[in-house]
Amino acid sequence: MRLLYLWFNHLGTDLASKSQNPPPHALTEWVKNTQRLATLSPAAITRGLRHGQQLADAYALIPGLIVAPLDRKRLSEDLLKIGYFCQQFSPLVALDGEDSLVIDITGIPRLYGGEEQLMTQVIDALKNIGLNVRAAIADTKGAGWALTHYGSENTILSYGQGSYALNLFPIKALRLEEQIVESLNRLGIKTIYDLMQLDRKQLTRRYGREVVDRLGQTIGTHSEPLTPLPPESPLSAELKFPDPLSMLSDLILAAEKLITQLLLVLRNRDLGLTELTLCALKTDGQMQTLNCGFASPTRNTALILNLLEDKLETLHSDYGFESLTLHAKSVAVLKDEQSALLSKEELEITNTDLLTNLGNRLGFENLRYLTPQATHIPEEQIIMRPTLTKIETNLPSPLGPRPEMTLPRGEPIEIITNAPDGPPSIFRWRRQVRNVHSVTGPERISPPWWRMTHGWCGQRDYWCVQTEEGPRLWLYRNDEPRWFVAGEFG
Amino acid sequence: MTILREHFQDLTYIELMATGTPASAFSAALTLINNESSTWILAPGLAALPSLNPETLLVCAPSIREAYWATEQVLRSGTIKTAALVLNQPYDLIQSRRFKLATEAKGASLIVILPSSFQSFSSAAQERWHIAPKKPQEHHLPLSHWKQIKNKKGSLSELKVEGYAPTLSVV
Repeated sequence: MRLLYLWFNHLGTDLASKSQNPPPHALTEWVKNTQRLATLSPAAITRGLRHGQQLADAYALIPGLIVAPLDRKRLSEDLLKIGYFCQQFSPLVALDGEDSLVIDITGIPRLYGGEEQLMTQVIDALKNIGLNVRAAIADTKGAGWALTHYGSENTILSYGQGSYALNLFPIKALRLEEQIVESLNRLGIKTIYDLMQLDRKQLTRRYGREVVDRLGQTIGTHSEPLTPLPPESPLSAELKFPDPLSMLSDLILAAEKLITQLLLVLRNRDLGLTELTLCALKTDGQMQTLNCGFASPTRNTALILNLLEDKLETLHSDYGFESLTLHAKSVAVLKDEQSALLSKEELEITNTDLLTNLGNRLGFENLRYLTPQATHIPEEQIIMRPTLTKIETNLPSPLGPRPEMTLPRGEPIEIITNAPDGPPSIFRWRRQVRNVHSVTGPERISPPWWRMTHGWCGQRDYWCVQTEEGPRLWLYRNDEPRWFVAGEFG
Repeated sequence: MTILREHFQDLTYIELMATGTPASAFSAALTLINNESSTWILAPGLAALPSLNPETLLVCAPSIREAYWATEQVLRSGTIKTAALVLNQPYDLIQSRRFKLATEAKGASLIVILPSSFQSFSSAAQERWHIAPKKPQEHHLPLSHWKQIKNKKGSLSELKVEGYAPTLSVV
């Protein structure tokens, strides 16, 4: 078994201060009527503070020290969230103590290119969310604990090395009680090697099973179970009815209850709905499903209910429904924000509601933004993005004029009278004869040499042509040479 | 010479028709909308795209009924000031009346762009204009002739419009 041990040595202060270079920060707790430092930020440790120090002494050293009370319950909840975050690397993640995680990575490193790469990736991911961590890879949880607490930073212990690689570690690294460590130290037993030389039966007789067990768990001769994190509660809500429901008004009431239940779960996890499915179980055992999508993550009950109301009408109830289940099919992070004071954000939220309404009926693929692209090919300069995520682009404007109306592809024209070195003087387009009044151009555009674009072969010369009849057209000539209309100016 | 937009300040529901392709009507609509928040709704079967800025939402309706529905939704949303509906066929009076009510609900404006081949049909629009591009005169600026073919509040008029979108002006 290979385990990745993660020790969040500044967990409390990391979670409390999210800035890049936080000031000295400490969390305190009451110990025997005295306020003592429980967790310290790296900056506070650098300035000379230590764990267990009295708060008054700490203030004497650093007058500007930022202090907050330690909330152990909140800390354990946060550690659980970090554990679920780490499940992206391995399905088996276990909590260890108040500030550590153990990840079973057996068979996984090959997916990341090796154990070192995997460890680096985990550390980087945790650093990105503002957590300081010491990591180690070993065969046992005990060895991982010893390496993270007493070894050098981010160590990898090769398979089967536990028994002798930890020889020189102090016996404190065996997770023993303070009294036992002191007692052993008084006897001159300072390192794990010293302890391993002693007779196990004598040790058990004098100190109980703990010392031998801890030693065995660290070097790998005794097993130590891991308790994986419980699965996250599903993002769904269900209502079962004592009698089948068939009336639309009853179904709407039930749907409202379900939405409230589901949104409560999502709010606790700072999530918003982007897609949901409502499953309605009929009395004959058949299931009907309704799907809704949202333009952006939402926890707006009224909006969701409004969408579901329209769709509930399409259900065929026959003899009624036995139960309704609402599943969050897709979710995204959505933090609580005070938007009431921000008029611009309010406007955006309402726009999002409009997009959601349109997208649910017409399909989100039919809502598009015309997005400029960094290319000189006229047909590719503007693309339709069938998505609602806009890209902010500050692209330079094209050198030449561009028409108000573009055709998806060039429409060929029939030349009636040709002109030397320029567009034809009389031509027919869409069955109408056009006499050229004046021309501007050419603007020469070549396709990228590394790929074929829209069947281009060679360069094109674009001309802005004013006709006697009125329309101003954008013509181009290819290498063959043939003439086409690319668009019309307004 | 006056700015074209000033002529249409009080209009909430207008129909534009252009000779040939809808390019002139696109250009006119871009001028009338200017920089306001707008949404363009395209009916199915259209083979040309207006030149819009990236902030403008484009709704490609899968059917003509959905195009009508989307237009009403946009007008009633309260967040979009102007909707431009591009159609390739005329619409009936009932639908037109629904658009009129939708524009009144939240004070939004509607510009309907239609092919010039359907000039005589009933609708609730305040004005209907026919736009024909013309050969430029001495300024060499693009010129178009605007002919009013319906006006609910007065006599019919004609305009000569010059320049480039979105800064067209009346000569």
